[in-house]
Amino acid sequence: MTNHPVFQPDPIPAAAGVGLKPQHFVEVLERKPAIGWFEVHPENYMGEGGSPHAYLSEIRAHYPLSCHGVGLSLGGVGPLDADHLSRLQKFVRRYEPGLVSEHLAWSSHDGVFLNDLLPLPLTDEALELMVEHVDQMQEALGRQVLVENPSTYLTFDGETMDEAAFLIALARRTGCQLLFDVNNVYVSAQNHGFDATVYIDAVPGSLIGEIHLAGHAVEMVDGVELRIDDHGSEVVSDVWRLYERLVARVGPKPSLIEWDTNIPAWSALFAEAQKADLLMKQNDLILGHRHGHERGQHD
Amino acid sequence: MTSLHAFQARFAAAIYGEPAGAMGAADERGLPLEKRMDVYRNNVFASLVDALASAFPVVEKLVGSDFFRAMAREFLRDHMPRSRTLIGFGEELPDFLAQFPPVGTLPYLADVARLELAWLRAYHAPNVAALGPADFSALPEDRVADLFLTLHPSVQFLSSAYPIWSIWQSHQRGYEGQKITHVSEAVLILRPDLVVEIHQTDDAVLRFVNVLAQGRALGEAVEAGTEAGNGGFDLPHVLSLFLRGGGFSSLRLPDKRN
Repeated sequence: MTNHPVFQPDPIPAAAGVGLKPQHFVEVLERKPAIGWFEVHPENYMGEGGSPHAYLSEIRAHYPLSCHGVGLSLGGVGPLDADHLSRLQKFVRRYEPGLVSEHLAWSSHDGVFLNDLLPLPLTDEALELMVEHVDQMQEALGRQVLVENPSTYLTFDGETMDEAAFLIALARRTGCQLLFDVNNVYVSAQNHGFDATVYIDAVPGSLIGEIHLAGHAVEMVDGVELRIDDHGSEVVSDVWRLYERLVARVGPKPSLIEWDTNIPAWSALFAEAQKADLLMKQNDLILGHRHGHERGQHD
Repeated sequence: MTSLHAFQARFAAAIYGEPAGAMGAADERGLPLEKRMDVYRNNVFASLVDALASAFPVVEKLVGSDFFRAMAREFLRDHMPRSRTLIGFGEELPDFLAQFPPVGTLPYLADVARLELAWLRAYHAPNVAALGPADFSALPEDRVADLFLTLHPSVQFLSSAYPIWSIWQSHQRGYEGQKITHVSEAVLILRPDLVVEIHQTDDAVLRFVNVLAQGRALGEAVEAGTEAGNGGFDLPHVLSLFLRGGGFSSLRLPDKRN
């Protein structure tokens, strides 16, 4: 009864994309801007039909799409939510996204969905759980997935590895790739007082399948600065510098601008994406030939 | 119970307001643990309150944003979401509002919330082809009463003892003020070309749609509408409203009974 278009898998290019917001549906379809790809949260397209699916189908017909989940709770104890996994399967079959990603985080407890990416203590036990759940996700979807580093505000007693080591081990054990969020690295580094460049330099380029960039908020709490990952503004210059440092080493990668609150006019979002494209091109020209950077190399 | 089980149970308890100390975290960079935990507490509740506000924009306007946010926090005490998609979250809000003493002076609020839920159901309903006039052209005229018409899954309808359509309408963009009178109102929601339309209607039309929704024949629906309409049930008008609004998804004419 319900007909929807059939899409062929389109790989996500090593170029800039943006998070697709309903506020921009019409403009995107009218202008068909020269942008490499779009990303959506599948959770926003888990209704049965209506205009969200109609717009997404039309946009998907013109652009590659990346599926960035926020609800699977990979880091949650207990089994993955079977209903959610099957909704995700349905989304992936329908839209044939070039990339599918989730988070190093948990978001459900005791049957309640807390709607936030909550932190895990970085221990062997947590690694075993993440390995099991990423394996299960990859098996259910029949494809490689990517796992993203979260912004964090707390660290825990008894942690046995840093986040980079945790994610590298996860990728090596499951064959997943990493979605490397440079803004999250920066936010966590500022909040916990570690050196972001050490983290940026620690992750092998061959494991990075996608990069995220976003703005964040700065709040003063009891006279102490706290960075809040709210995706509500332009990418800050420190984060652009870290991004440049990263692409200089690993080469161009699919790079996403996320802007989810205080959503700007399309032109402002597009300008951020063009900035990422420009930085990738410059670095590729200057450094690509000279260094033969890590792209495609095995480590 | 493994230690990760215990950790997540304590973390979740801290989200709901327990002290965060039990889960083994500490102050960092001069910023106390509880203040750090507040970032997560705020993310969880603010995002869920935002989700409710965007699902119920007219209810929010009727009570004001600050009141709505406080009320939504009260609602969340017993109604945290259980699905990992927030589409459909807030189904219990109308019943909650009907029994929430601080809004006792706004008796229409629960029905306005029901109207907003109906709008959302229509918005997310499956994309199924709708019947057009051509689908009816080959029907023998003397058999029209025997027709079984399936309502399109986006069709929603409700009635209220309060002027919910007028109240809803008065909070839409471009509304030019008219005094709202205290009458009961009925609403029919259709979704032609994926655009949700809210029509003010009457009890006769609601009776008619309700009979069709029960899977009974068009003749019975017309009878029910006519009976409720006291001479005011205008079948051609109703059918044309439904056809323009994509209100039917299939029809079936059973073999002639002998």
